[in-house]
Amino acid sequence: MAIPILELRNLGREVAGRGAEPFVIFNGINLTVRDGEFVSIVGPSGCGKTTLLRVINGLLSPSAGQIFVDGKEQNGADGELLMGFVFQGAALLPWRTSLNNVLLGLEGRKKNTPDAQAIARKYLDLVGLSGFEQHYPHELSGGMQQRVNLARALAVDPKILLMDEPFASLDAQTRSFMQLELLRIWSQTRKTVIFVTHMISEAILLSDRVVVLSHRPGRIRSEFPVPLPRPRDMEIKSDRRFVELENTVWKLIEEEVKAAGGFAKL
Amino acid sequence: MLRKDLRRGFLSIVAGLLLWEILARLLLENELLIPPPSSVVRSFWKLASTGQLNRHFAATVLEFTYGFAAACVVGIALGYLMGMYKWFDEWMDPWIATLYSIPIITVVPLIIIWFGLGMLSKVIVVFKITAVEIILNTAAGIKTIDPVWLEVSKSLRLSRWETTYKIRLPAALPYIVTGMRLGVGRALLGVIIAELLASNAGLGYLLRDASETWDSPKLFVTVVLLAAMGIVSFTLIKKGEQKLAPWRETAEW
Repeated sequence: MAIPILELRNLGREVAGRGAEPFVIFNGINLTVRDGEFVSIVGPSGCGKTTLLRVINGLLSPSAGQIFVDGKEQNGADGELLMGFVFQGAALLPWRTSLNNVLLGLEGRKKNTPDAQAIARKYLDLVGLSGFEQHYPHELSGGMQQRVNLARALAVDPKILLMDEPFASLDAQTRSFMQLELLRIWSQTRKTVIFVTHMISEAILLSDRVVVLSHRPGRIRSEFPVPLPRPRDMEIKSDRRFVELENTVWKLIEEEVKAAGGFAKL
Repeated sequence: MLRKDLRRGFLSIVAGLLLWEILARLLLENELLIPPPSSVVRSFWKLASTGQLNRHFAATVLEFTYGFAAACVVGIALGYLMGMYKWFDEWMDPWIATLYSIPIITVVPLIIIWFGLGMLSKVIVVFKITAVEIILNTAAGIKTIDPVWLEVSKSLRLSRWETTYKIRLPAALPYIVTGMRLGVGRALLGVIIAELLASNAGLGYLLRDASETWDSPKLFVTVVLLAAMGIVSFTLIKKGEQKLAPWRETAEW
C-alpha cells in the first residue's frame, strides 16, 4: 500500500485545566488520508475540530501522538511548509492588496519576483479574482476575501490544504456559491483537503469521506465514505444517498450532543 | 464637497484679515498693540529680504527635523522591544513614565546647561518629547496585534525576521503614526520654549528678540510662521497616515 499523504497516530491535546486535572480537548485521534482525498471533519460544537486542524498544521503542539506527512514525522511550525491553512475569518493583512496577500508566503521562497508574481496571479485567477489584484481587503466582500484566503494557501503549493470552517461567516447564498467554487477549484488542483465544518450537508457535498468526532474530549466516532459520483452540483443534495447519509450523520451528532448533556449545554 | 469647504475656509480667512486691517487702522492709533496685516506683511518682507527669516526658520526646522527623525528611529526600536518582551517593558516602564510626566519646561534649563545654547540642546528637547510618545504608542501597537495574523505567519512558515517586518511592524504602523502625530504638536512647543529660554537662532529666538524690542509686527510674523509649520507637519503626517494605512478611517483630530 502506498504511503498515505497524512497520518495521525494517537494524536491528543490537553491544556491546563482549572483544577489539577488537565483539560483534554481531544485524544486518541487516528486518521489516515490518501493523496488527493477530500476529507471533512464534523462534530458537535466544542469537540475540538478547529484545535485538531491547528495541531495538524503545527500552530499548536500536540500533547500526545505523532503526525506524519508523506511518511515523515512533523515537528511543529519550525518544519517545512507542507500545508496551507485557510482561516475561518479571512485573516487577510489589511495593508496588503489581494495580490500582495497571496504573495505573502511566496516572497521569502521564490528567488526571482516576477516568477512569484506570476504564481500569485495564477491563483487569484483560479479563485475567480483576476481584475481584483490591486484591491485592498476592505474593498472586497466577505466571499471575495475568502477567495483571497484560499488563493494565499494554495499559492505555496502545499501537499495538504487545511480548511477551518472557511464559509461559516458568509450568508447562506454566498456560502452555496463558494461550495460550488470549491468543488471546481478542487477538481482543478486535486489537492488533499482536510475540511472542518459544522454543516453536515456541506461536508457531504464536498467530500470523499466524512469523519465524525465525538463530544469532548474529541475522538473519532465514525467515518463515512461519500458514495456520490463527481462532478457534483447542488442537485445532488436531493439524491437519496445524500439524504440518507445526512440523516445518519445528524443522528450520530445528536447522540453525541445528548451524551454531552443536551442542547442546553452547547 | 472638499473644494467648497476649502473655498469657504479661504474666504473666511480673507474676510478676517480685511476686518482686522480695517479695525486696526480705524480704531488703534498705536500700531504696537495690534499691527494691521499690512504691517505684518511689510515686516515679513523686510525679514525675508535680509535673510534673517531664512536663517531663523531654517534653524528651527532643522532642530525639529533632526530631533524628530532620531526619535522615530529610537522610539520605534524601543517600543518594539517593549511590546515584544514583557521583562523589557517592565524594566523600561518606570523610566518612560517618569520622562512622560516631567513637564518639558522644567528640564529645558538642564538640557541647555548640558548641551549648550546651540542647536544640539533643542534637538535633544524635540527628541525627548517625541521619542516618549512614539515608544508608548509603538509598544501598544505591537502588544495589541491580532493573534490570527501571527497564525497566518506561522502557517506560511515565515521567519522571525519576516514576521517582524511583514506582520508586526505594519500592524503597529497606525499606532506609530499616532505617536508621531501626538509628538509633533508637543515637540513644536518644546523647541520654541527652549529657544525662548536660551538660544542664538531660531523662531523662538526671533520671538524673544521681537518682544524685547517691542516689535509687534515681527512678533506676529513669527507666530504666523509657527502656525504654518504646525499645519504643514500635521498635514504631512495625516497624508502619510492615509498612504501607509489606507484601510483605516483617518483618525479624528
